[in-house]
Amino acid sequence: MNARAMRLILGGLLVATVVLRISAGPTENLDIRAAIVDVLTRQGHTVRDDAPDRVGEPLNSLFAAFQGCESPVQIMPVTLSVQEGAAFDATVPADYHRRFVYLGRTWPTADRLGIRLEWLREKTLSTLGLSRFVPIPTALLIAAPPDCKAADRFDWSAVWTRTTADRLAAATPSSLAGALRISHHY
Amino acid sequence: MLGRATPGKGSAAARIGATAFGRREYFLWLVALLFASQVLHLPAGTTGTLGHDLVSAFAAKTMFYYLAWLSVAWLLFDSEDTRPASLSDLTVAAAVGLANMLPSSSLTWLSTTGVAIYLWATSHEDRNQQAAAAVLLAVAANGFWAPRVFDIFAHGLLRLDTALVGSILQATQPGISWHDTIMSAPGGHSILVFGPCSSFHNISLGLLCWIALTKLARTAWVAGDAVVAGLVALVVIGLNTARLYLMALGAEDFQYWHAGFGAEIFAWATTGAVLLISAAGIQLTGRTQ
Repeated sequence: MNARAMRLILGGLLVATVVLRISAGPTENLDIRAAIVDVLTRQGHTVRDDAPDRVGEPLNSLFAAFQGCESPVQIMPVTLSVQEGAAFDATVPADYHRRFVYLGRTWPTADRLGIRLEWLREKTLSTLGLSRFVPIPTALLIAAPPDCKAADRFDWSAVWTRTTADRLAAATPSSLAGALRISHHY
Repeated sequence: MLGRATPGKGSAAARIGATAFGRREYFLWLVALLFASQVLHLPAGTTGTLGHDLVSAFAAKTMFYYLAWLSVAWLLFDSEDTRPASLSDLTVAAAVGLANMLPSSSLTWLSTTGVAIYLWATSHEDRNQQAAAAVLLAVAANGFWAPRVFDIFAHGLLRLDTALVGSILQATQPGISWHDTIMSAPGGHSILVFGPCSSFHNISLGLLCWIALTKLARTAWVAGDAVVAGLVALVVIGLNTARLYLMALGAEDFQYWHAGFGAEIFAWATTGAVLLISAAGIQLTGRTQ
């Protein structure tokens, strides 16, 4: 093929990529804690954050009041590989009923493979624009006090939906702080 | 660059060659596109102002990442492939162009992997292109594949990390215990070994530095390369094991080595060690093509 034509095509592709990347803004993301608070408060639950200064750190839970439950339900964002697992006994009351929730599914134990496969499925669908979720790599550990059926009935999948993400994006000013990170990755 | 005509061919062939588009330039365009697509995926938490977002995007990558891309560009520029771009080359370019226009960052990494494999598979006569393919594959491995593989095996790897450090601690410090991924010191100090703290987490970054430097110095593989690569991995694991050991000793030690100046010392020590081993490896295994 003619060299000039090829340069025009590839140069056009390069410029288009740069323009699309810049105009698209930050990569699709979802603030899981903000999403939890948003979904719960919209349905009338009060949410307590005991350590707002430790956002992003492992084992940092939110607590929500549910009618008919004697004490708050603990909601802990966890990695898809549930790396926090060893510390659950120290951070979740022993008599609480635990389950893991990610996107549209629930597991009674830390099913790492199941959670990862769910991510893979929704990530693929999301890439094709066919998923109703924003498949960020964060699942939830829901720990409810004994006989707390309301937490089991609650639709936790709403936390990851595009509707929630869009609502948060519209409500959040774009000037949210983003400190410059010079990373060594070590 | 224009596709260069093979000397000795007839005038018609020479004319076609002079206006044809060479594979050397083709791949340079393609990696420029991939680089732009990767770097301009703006990280979450950016401010919304373009200048700041771009600085954040560039700063989010490590210096080894840029070194690797520099190596890819240099090797391709140094390539002596005079063949014109083929129809299959153009098909790959179209697919890569389309994939990188979609918002998913995974597609950018998948297309980087695809281009690396395609470059490697179609350039057996050109050592520079083969070397560029290896470095490009290492970029994709570090940025995409390694974190995913780590994540799948994270629990097992973290337990292995804890067992290694915990055993050393038990043998050298009184009163320290460990189980699963938790290490506990006397006085109530306990640490949970988490993904980013893992010794295995940074192996691919160390190897990216090694491969970028080695391929710049020498395009051919030699037997000693495996030893140097193994040494890089061992040093990354060893230094991180030492850091975990120090963090487990007490709350003050944890603060210093996890978030204080100790973390900086560790980062620069690991960077320096990887650079030193890579450079020494090049000297010992030879610079020849």
